Amino acid sequence: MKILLIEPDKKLGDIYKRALVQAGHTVKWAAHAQDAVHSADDSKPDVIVLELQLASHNGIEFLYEFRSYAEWQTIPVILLTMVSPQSLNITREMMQAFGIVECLYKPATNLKQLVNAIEDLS
Amino acid sequence: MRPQVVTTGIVLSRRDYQEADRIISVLMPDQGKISLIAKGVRRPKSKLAAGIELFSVSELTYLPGRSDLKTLISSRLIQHYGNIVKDIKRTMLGYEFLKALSKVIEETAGGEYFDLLQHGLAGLDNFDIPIEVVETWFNIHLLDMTGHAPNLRTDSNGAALEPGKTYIFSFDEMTFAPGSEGQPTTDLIKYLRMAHVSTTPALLAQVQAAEELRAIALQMTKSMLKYTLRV
Amino acid sequence: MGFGNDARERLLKALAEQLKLPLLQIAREAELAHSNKDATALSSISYTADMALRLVDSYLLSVQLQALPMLELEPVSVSAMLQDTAHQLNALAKQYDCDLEVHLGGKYEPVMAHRQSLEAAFATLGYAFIEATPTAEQKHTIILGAHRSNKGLVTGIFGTQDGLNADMLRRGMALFGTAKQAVPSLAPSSGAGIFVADSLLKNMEAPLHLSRHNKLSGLAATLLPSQQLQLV
Repeated sequence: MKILLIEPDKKLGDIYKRALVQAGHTVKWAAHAQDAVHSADDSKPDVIVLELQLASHNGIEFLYEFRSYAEWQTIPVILLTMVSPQSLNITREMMQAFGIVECLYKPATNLKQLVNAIEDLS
Repeated sequence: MRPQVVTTGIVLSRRDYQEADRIISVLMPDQGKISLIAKGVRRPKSKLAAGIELFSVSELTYLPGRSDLKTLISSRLIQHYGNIVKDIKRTMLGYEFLKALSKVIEETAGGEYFDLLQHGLAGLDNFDIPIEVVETWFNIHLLDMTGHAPNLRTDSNGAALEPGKTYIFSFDEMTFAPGSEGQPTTDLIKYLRMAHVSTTPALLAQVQAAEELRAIALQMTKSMLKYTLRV
Repeated sequence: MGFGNDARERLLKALAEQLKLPLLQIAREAELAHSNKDATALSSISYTADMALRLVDSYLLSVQLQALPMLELEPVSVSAMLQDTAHQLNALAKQYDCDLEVHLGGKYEPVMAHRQSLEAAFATLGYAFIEATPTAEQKHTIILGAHRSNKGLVTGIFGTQDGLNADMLRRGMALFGTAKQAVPSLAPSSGAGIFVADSLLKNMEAPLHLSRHNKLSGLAATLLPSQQLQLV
């Protein structure tokens, strides 16, 4: 699958990208919401893996912008975030509105689980 | 040359339009909700901000016209509530405010909602104000402005609400009805009244209220909104 | 001198939030290295762990020193301190594709400071700046520099990242420990390193402020030269 990984930390981004590539996927990695919009234009991803805590514009802002484009309505989003579930408290309606198919808490998600979550989509 | 209009506004939403343009829906204090077309700002060169940040008050210059879409000429940031995006929950709630107003306000109407939105965003921007206080304040004022304010003075029989008595809230009539199975609601009713008369969330935040009471008030106003306005 | 309980609790919260990142880096790097049987990852893990430990120690030092009625100050060479800090941070900077440079405009007299605090503050601040390195494609430069001002010796860390301004810093200082991202344009995580550094420097009455050095923006402390050696 073609994955757009939106991850602000250089080290983590590199680790996740390597793990996903090893699992046979193509990965485009963007560190900022703005870069992510440009990348989505270029790479036409099948799925987005998104950290909510980004520099400048956060992941929610990215999703609002992203979903305002007609051709990007159906691309599924997997949240892979440092924001804990009790802090995030995202409703089912909001998940549906944003096309978020899964919320993964980074500290509790190992690489194998991430790969499985993506492969479950195909 | 057509005269340009200069005004302030808060962006409610953005969406794409044809090849290179974006439609910006803006809430202005005078003209209400208006759609402006921002030409040539669509991707691949688009900026997330496009000079028009969400959660901000901007000075907007546009060309008036007969069509529903006016053309945006320029924008300048006046006040950016930049703290909101430092917290995911506050960001989500900010967007809920924008979505709610987009839904309830008709095109070219609703200038009176501008202050509601501005105060709501200012409340979210201030981390000293608990988020549930901002949300309760916004909800109660939105209910009021749309003609769905709960009756906090008299019960369903027209009698004045009495301290210490138990009531059940009727969402159909948006009023408290006496009932032995009800909960004592004196504090809740007082708090909702305070929310109603507080002109800003900051003022409501000064009202002493236990966390549990605030949570109940919030849940109640959320249910009211869902029931009446479906937001 | 020192913080009240509320500020201390907020700093602790920011610190706890911040520590998730290096621990996560270590865990995932180790997982990947294990599956690839890659020994080179071990050095990366080691640097990450060291900086995280340094952050915790800096925080503990700031709390410990706040409880003291008075700090023991001594003349400290800013040039030597910045060189040492650069040496400590160099390996980590390489992992983030960062160029680390020390810029000193000339010879400076020593400053009166609590040596341990000063070293800890700049190591912690440097770590925060490195971690805030922007996108993968861009090479990032971090300068450890000092220059004179009419108030003293401005010593700080400066970088090529965008979005650093007085308003952002002021808001961040008000929000650390409360907002998950108090200074998002500088640090997508909690930015605790900045606040721990500020806490240490505040103990010496030299809090962090926005500054510029050779057209770069950054955070610096203004330190007072030692009067003792001037009399010699």
